[in-house]
Amino acid sequence: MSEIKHILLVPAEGDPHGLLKDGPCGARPPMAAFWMCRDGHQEHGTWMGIAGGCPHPDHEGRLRPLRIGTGLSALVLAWDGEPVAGGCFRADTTEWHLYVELVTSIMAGERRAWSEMPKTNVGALADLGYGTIVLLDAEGQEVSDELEGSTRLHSP
Amino acid sequence: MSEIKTVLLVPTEGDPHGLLKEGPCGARPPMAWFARCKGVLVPAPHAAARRCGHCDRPLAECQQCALVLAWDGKPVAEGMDRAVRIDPHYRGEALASPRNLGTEMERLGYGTIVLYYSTPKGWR
Repeated sequence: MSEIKHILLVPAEGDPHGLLKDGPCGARPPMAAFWMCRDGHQEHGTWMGIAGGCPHPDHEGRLRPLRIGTGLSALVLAWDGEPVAGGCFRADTTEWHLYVELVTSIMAGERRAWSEMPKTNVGALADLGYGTIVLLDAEGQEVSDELEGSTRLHSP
Repeated sequence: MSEIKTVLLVPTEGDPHGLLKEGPCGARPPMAWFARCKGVLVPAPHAAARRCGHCDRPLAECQQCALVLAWDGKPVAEGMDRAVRIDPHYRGEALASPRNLGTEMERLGYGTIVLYYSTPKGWR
């Protein structure tokens, strides 16, 4: 199994395609944000679901968001080892079911998945200016580039 | 779409299939609330609406909540997506229109379809 537990799509600056925009009648996509978690004098960055809390039990109540809505918020394609269909759908309304298959195969450790699905490969997303794929482990830390086109946005 | 402007699906009591349930990481489906205007139940696009878009009168308390499949004459993709995920067998004709999808879901017992020939505007 892969160490990847979460897959995010960080929109291009200004979110020109409205990936994180509220939909009609209060619809809201699944989102994660990059948070700085304060631990004494140290801070470390963690990606977390918008509705979630810090994964470290000792850090409850010592969180502050960092630049939410300015490029460090992301659409959630997979979370806790499961594809998030709502996020896949927002990324591609016609081929969303392929995204679901794709993120499932990535988390199963199939490294070749992106390039075999032209409609959903990372390069195509980047060419369209949609954003950047970020792969995270269970603690919300970015993992190394296991897949072509995935990127590290932050240093651990 | 036909002259029908609004297609809603009222889940069966208690929403056992989670049509209106909040998803992971704060995901929320498109929802409409029914409110009473001049004795008729009309849909409002958000829970905070307090005045009618047609007659500007205060609305009565919200009565019930529904999944939005079409609003203002346009399919609402997020609502149709939620419905499809509940039962992935929906393909082809069922997805051709929100009305078809709602009808099929009603037939399978997921809820009750509600159709409107107009979309209320200007809710406050």
